Amino acid sequence: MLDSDVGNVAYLLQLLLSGLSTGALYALFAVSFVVVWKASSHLNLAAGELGSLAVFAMASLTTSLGFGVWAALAVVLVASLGGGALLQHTLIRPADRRGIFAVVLTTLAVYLVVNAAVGLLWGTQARQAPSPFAGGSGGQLVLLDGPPRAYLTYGDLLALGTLAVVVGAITIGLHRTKLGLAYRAVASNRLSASLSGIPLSRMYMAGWAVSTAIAAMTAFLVGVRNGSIDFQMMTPMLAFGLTAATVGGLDSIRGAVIAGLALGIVVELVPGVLTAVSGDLGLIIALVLVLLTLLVRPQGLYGTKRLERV
Amino acid sequence: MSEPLLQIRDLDAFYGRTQALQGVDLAVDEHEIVVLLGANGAGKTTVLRAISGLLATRGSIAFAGTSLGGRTPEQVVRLGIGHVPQGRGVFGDLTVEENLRVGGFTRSDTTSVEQDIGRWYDVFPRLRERRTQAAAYLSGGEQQMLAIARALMSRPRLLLLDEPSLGLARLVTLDVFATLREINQKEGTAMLLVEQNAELALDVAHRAYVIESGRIEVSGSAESLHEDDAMRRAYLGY
Repeated sequence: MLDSDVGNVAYLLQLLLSGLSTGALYALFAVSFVVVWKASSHLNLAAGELGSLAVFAMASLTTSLGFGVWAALAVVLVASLGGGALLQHTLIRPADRRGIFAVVLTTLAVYLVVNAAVGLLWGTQARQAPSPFAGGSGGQLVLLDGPPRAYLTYGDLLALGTLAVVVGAITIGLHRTKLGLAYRAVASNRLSASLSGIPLSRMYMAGWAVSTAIAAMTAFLVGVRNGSIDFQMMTPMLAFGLTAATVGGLDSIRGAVIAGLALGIVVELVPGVLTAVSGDLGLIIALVLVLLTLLVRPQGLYGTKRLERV
Repeated sequence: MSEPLLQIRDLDAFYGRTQALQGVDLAVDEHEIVVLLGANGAGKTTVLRAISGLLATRGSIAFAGTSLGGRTPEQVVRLGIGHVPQGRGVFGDLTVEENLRVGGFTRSDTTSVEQDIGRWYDVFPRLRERRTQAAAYLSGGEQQMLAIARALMSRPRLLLLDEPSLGLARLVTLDVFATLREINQKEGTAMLLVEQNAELALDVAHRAYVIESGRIEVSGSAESLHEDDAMRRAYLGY
């Protein structure tokens, strides 16, 4: 039943570390959902695919046009900000007048179209991921020498560092700036925010812009970790990211981070410790967690209860 | 006589196919408190929503000589109309002070915004005591005062108030109305007050309208309505 290495400290530590670094990606992706949900109660199902598009564009910039990895990343992040705002303004806003289902279906349509477009433009074969490190995730920072070893790759460190920076920046932005205060006001009470002179449509655009850029950053980090990118790379991430966002509470950044990291650890630890559970069961674990959350605490661990959409 | 501050002429409003307002004429003069009375569903809130641009309407609404037709709520605030919605509409998970700062969103001068926050703390000392608390934890009366102060933070020339007495004890309502009167006298802020509680509202107002089924049925000075027993019994029920 239990794995034979389960008494080994380094083995367990390694499971925990890879769980944390995988979880950092789930958490980051979950944050991109929360940013949109907080203000507009919309789910951007297309975020991951827009991220794929961004990372493939990055690959073309670095291989064909001679861009450095960081320069290419900067270009696609700026483009993602603009693309997210444009998507909200041109497709989501008109759909929103027809109700919440029209919005969900619109994001689903964008998901399918972008996914197909990436497959058509760049092919369905995996290709090398744009990465600042040699061989994808780079060298290792060894914490306990083995065998077995406990280590973090540079890619893991980049993922954890990015999560910290993004969450720190969002927290400071929300709590220390006038725009952030306005964003929280919209999240708290749309009618009163509007009656206070806050332009809702521009707040929604800002939310979609930031969310899409975070999704692009997530896709880049997924590529760094895997070493390769393909047009389906963000599909499993969608399930894990949404799980983290749901379990943490769709309107809570803190919930998304904690649930994302915890989900990463659970998904690595359970198959690593119990031999009966194979590694492919991560998705099942995630879905069970979502179901349990919806049954026991529908607003998520840190979410606030909402009775209706205004 | 000069143009009133707010002039509504022949206003129609619809919710789907239901006509909520039929040819409403209403005016509020500068520095004046006007109360709009009526039963539940008579169209009182709809009038306020129409002014704030929350509702598409037919007819004309002019504020200080500018037409409000087709304007968004954000634009209406910037023109100088504050709106305290029904049920107070405080930002529950924001602190009292953050609520006030959101109220000053349209103003760019941070120093004078901070000064105004202090000024409204002087008018509502309870808010100062609770400045760092989340607004959701305030009592009903305190939330109403916060909602009023929040709307005043935009320095409006006209304040729209949607049933401030809703859910408040009589004594608290009296306190809120007394403060409104004081603000009106000191700052000269004109007010359009929507109320079911006719007795208390007529005490604070200069003029009154009675709306029934989307039509203005009666209008006159608050005193004359107060003294007209037949009218009172027919429309106001006390």
